[in-house]
Amino acid sequence: MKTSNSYTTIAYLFLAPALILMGVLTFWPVGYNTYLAFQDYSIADGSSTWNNFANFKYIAHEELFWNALKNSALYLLIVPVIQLAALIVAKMVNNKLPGMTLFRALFYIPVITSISIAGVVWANVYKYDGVLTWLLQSLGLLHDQVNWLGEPSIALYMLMIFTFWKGIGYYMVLYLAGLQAIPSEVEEAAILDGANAFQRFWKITVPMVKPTILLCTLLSTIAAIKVYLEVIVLTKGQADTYTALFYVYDQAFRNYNFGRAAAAGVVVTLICVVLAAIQFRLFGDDKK
Amino acid sequence: MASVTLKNIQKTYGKDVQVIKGVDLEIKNGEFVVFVGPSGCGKSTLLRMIAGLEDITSGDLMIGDTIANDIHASKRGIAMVFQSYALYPHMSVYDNMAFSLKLSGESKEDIDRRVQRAANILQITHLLERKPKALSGGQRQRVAIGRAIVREPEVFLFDEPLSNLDAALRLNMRVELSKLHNDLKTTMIYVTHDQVEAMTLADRIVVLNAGVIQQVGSPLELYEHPSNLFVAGFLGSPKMNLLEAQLVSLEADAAVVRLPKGITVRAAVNANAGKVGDKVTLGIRPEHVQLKLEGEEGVPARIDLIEHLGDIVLAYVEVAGVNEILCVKLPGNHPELKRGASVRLVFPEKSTLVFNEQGLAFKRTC
Amino acid sequence: MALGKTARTVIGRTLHYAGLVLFAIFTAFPFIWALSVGLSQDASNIWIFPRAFWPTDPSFGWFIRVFHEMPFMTYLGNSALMSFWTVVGVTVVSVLAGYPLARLKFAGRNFIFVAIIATMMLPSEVALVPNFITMKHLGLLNTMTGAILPNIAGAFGIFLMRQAFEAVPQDLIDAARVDGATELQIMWRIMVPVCAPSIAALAIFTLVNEWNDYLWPSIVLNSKEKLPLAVGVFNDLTGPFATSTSLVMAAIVMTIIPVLIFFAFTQRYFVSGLDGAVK
Repeated sequence: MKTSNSYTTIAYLFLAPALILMGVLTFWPVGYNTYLAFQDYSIADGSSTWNNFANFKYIAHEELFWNALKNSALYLLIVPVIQLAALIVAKMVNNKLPGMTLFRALFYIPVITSISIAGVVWANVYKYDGVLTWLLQSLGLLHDQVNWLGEPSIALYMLMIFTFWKGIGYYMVLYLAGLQAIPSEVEEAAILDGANAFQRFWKITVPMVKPTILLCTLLSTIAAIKVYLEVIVLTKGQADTYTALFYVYDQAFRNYNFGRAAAAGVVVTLICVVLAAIQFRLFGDDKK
Repeated sequence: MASVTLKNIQKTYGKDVQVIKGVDLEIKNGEFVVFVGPSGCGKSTLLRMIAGLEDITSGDLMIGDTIANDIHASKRGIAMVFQSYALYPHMSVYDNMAFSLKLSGESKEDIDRRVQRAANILQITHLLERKPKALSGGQRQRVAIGRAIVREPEVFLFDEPLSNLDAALRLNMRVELSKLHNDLKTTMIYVTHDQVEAMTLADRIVVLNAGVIQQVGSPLELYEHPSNLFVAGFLGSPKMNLLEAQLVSLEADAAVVRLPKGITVRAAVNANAGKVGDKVTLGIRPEHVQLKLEGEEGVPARIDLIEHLGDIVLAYVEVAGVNEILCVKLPGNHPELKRGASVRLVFPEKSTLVFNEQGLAFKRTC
Repeated sequence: MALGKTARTVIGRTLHYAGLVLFAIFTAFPFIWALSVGLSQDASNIWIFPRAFWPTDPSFGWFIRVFHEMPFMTYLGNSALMSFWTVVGVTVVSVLAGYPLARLKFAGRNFIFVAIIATMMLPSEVALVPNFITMKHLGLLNTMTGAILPNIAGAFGIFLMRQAFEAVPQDLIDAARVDGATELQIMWRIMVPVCAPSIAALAIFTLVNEWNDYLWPSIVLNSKEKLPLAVGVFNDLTGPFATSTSLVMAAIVMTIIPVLIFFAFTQRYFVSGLDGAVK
């Protein structure tokens, strides 16, 4: 009998649309971007010429680019914060008490809001006479009005709060899926053994959702390194808020220096690959 | 209707994992044959090879008079009932049953007639519009069987169809399957790991182990005359008592074996193929062991545990010098039996079996 | 003792709900404020907190003005059209690609799967420049096709569909095969209907993502009448049009409302859809 499930032709026919589209719009750009990184690209006639690493030499000495890298690295601070918060929130809504569906929905709404639209609201929240100033003043923590997005020392952290607000619902849902896979007997057994809520969280919940924690950490690390939409919609890079990918975007679509943007993009890609490799090593170790 | 013939069928995965090691079998037209064996013995693989869902590595499969090795599953004239029922969850019961007929381009009237007839046989006419998830386990089972019936196949294949049902339903469906076979008189091949199903349903049982047929025969034949230790141990509940022993003398139609501590037992078997001094295994079914509270006859023993099951009593008995605990099955009620009591066991000569060192049975002489 | 236990439960519950409410305020306050500002005909209180969280002289005046100040319906139509075609494209491409990756044996399967998954790790933003140039060569700049094409084939959708197809029990496929279905019939008549919940989840995720997509459309599209909501409203709100905060907030509320309505009807898929992606 002819093997019932060996269908190489059909398989490639089915895969063709995906492979063609991804080939042209996902894989080709990686190669072309690398090529561009070594070129002077003229946007007027589309010609490009080899420039002997000039793009890399330039960004290697540019303070703006180094600052952008530093800011992107700083942005990683958000990873542990958002992960822990998302897990706690997921744990709090993962029960049969009334109203939980509503709370889950409320926490998820920022995720489904367009980042550009949400950014406009938050820009107003961060105004010198906005909600944040009022809140801190009424708590007695602040005296003067502060332009939160205009101060180089704090603007980046304001972006992080926005990222936190926008992203926590997403990770909450991922953790919910992980938590719902834990049989409730385990928790009940721990209650019978006399563990209090905190002990149960750290000794039962956290170890049992470890695979989800690793997955979410990987996702949010990559996301943090890739942050730039927040910058575009909130500060446009002012007040020392350049991030690595914002630099790429800025060079490409404000300075129209495609070669320099490509060179910076290659650097970011390499960083992503290294980070992913490190985290995959962690994943792999966990499986053993 | 058709016969099914397997000639030296083999199945190998990859280079050297052989799961079916040369099976020869003839299944007659209209026969109900049960493949039974422990999990991993190859019984399901064998069935799936007959169905056309697994490639046959070598050997010939004949359904009727044609070699079916290269025929597509749907063209072999077979229908299959799966363990998980495999009902299409998005189709109504009617559409589930009609699916194969629609695919083969039958006329609407024809499809309707055949589905209604099958639904009638299985008494599921009132369920035809429902989706599978609105059915109970037993109803799903019927639909799965109905889906097989509408195809009017020459051979029915069942892959552990009752194992997802609870005990009471399983009993019901077993009876109904027997009736169905009586009514349809179609060849049926049935795979199970449950020896009760095998004993009750089969015209002939095929016992498989590790990809090799151990024995083929009618249920009683296998029960009374197991050809080897595996079949002897596999069929029957509780299991046959198997004791290590030594052959001490050979007669024309009996053999004498010695258990440890010098106890001797006579067995009505022809052990001439063996010789005195051989290591053998003595086998006797729990219901054949006689348990006596008094007298000098038999082997001295002590009761280790008593299980009262209402209709029968199971006594687990320890014989000095014998490692295995023996099980004795006694009909009725025996409140007088107590743990620790001294008793005597008698192994009737005519019910005692002997297996040689390779595990093969010596022929019984009665 | 019994009383003590009840009291502890009550305190525990209260703290639990207090925490949830506080967090809900954190996630929802920007929307509440935006809604209140949009509804306030009188804008004098919108920067006075906490008074600003309650509308002053409520009316729909600002909302009506949005239609006059910006081509809101044009943006809405563009968003709807772009989202629709993206959902169709993503669903078809992902189903087609996911099926062989999950169920057919062919040379190169593992390599292709790993290559597709690996793209999830790469910063896709690096593709902005090359794709811009590609679109220029294809003559697709400032067209809807150019704006949605890069979103059609994505690792997430293919991965999700592969997981869904892989979870279909083998027995079901065998049953269809015995029933005489060809490989194509198995796919269209068994696999796709059985995986309908996952396909729905993918469609919903895609719809929300495309509806909210900002950057790529803002790069590719430059005529105002072709812009989707997320781009058009943002440009108008932050550009010279942005004269009045009240108008801005009214526009924002109107942009978010379609997504919220959609979310209310499809909420359960958001959890169940991601469920499949995690396992």
